[in-house]
Amino acid sequence: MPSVESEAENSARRTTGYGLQTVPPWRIQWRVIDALVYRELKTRVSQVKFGFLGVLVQPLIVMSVFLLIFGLFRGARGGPLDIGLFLAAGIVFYTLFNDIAIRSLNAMDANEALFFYRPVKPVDTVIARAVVESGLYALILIIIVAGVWIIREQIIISSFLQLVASFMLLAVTALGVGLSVMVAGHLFPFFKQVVPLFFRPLWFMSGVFFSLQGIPQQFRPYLSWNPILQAIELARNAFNQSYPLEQSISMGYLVVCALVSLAFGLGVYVNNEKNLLTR
Amino acid sequence: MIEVNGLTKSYFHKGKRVTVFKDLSFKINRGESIALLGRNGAGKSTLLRLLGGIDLPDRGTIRRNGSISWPVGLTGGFQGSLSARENLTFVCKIYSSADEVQDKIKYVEDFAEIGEYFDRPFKTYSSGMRSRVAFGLSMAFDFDVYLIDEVTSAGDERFRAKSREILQERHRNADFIMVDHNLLGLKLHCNRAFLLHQGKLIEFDSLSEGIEKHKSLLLNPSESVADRKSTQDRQPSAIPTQHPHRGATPRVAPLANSSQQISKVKTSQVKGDKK
Repeated sequence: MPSVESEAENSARRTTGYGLQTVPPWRIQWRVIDALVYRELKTRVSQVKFGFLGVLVQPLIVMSVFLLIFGLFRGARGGPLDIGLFLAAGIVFYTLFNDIAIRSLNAMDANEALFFYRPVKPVDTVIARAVVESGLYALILIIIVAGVWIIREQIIISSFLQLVASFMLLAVTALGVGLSVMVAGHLFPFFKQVVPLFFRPLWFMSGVFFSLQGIPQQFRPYLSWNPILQAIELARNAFNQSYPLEQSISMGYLVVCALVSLAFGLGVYVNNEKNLLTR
Repeated sequence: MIEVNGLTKSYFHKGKRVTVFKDLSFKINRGESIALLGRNGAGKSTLLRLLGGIDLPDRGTIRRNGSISWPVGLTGGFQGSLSARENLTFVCKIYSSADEVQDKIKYVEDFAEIGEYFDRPFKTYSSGMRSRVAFGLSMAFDFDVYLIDEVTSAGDERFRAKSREILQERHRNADFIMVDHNLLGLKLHCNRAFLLHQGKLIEFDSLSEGIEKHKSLLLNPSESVADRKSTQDRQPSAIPTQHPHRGATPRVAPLANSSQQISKVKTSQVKGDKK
């Protein structure tokens, strides 16, 4: 029964010492994330009425309000794209990014009690939240697309792969940002107030309710660095290939964004994990 | 086996560094169960957290062979908004394979005997119910060493009897490191004692000896703890002594004093039990 492995405490590895000696590390992390996703969903569901449907209803209502406002007052500005899909891509993608990044700020506090179990590390709470948010907004996007499909009665996704890829890459970018933000918020608590404010302007800079084509040529370079805008434009193009894509918008850029963000976030996290675990 | 070397832990609180303990070194062999003694706030729970690996020390190393449980206690480890069943599912998803999860939960449910509360939010539980669930959960898994932080002291007679039984059964192939202010319980399960006092740890090879010292330190915290160790690491007493002749006539005045206090404590305990 007793294992011969031993562990020096100062290297906070997740290998031995808590009754899981026979389980490979990646499997332990998988279990931890699975458990955290379970607990995340349970808390969400327990906070609202009507179970899981209730969790979906709130963002759906927000979406419909936006759809109504922009649909009515701004008229159809989506060009060849259905205005519903145009806005849905913008709002869902922006909210996905924003929620993952901002919820990561509180991921540690919300799971404080669960760090009692040594396999649970701060990084797992952020990953779990990113997974839950992605799943939630993917479902919402599916519901909206299905709704539009029922109304329009025609094929409305020309490149499914491009849609999924831009969604996932944006989620990964947000995960990297979320990790950095969590560490920063832990080291400098005032960050927790500042970060949400800092993210607010992104709403206007990400093309949620305009297309990059719709703004003057000379301003476009200042906006197209933004991975959220890139992902949104790519998604719109994925719905309907005749939606015009600026030259500066490319999947390659988004891939680089996701990788850089994730690498940076993980780097920041790994260098500060000891700090996060010390109370 | 647990081997601790030069363990130092401090907290940063309101711009001040508060040292909990400094340079602890000890070794716990397989087959030894330890009673961790010390007054409230002496750092017992902190030490358990460090041993359990959920907090990291400032300096020093902890080497472990075999598996160690999380510190089983009334606080921590449970999400207040979730029910016991949901909390248990969470833990079992991590510590056991997927097909065992339901068995483990059933085991804890049967052990805890808290009826419909099992599906109510954890924050609505009384401390007795919490201790039933927390203790039952830790016993659902086979660890080589269990860290038990006062969890049995909150339960009623029936729960205490049950936990005593199950601890005795586990004792055959597992060890305990226990914090418990119910000293009778410690006597049943532990064979050595560690006493934490003013940032130092004193080892006792016999439990009763440790308990004696612990009791006398409770009544008279300034009493020297160094008589078992070399005198050179004796610290100047933090509390000004009221006995000017303490060095010349040791113990006489404090003893008279403490026997009075003992009688007071005893009567108050009796009152407390009758409530």
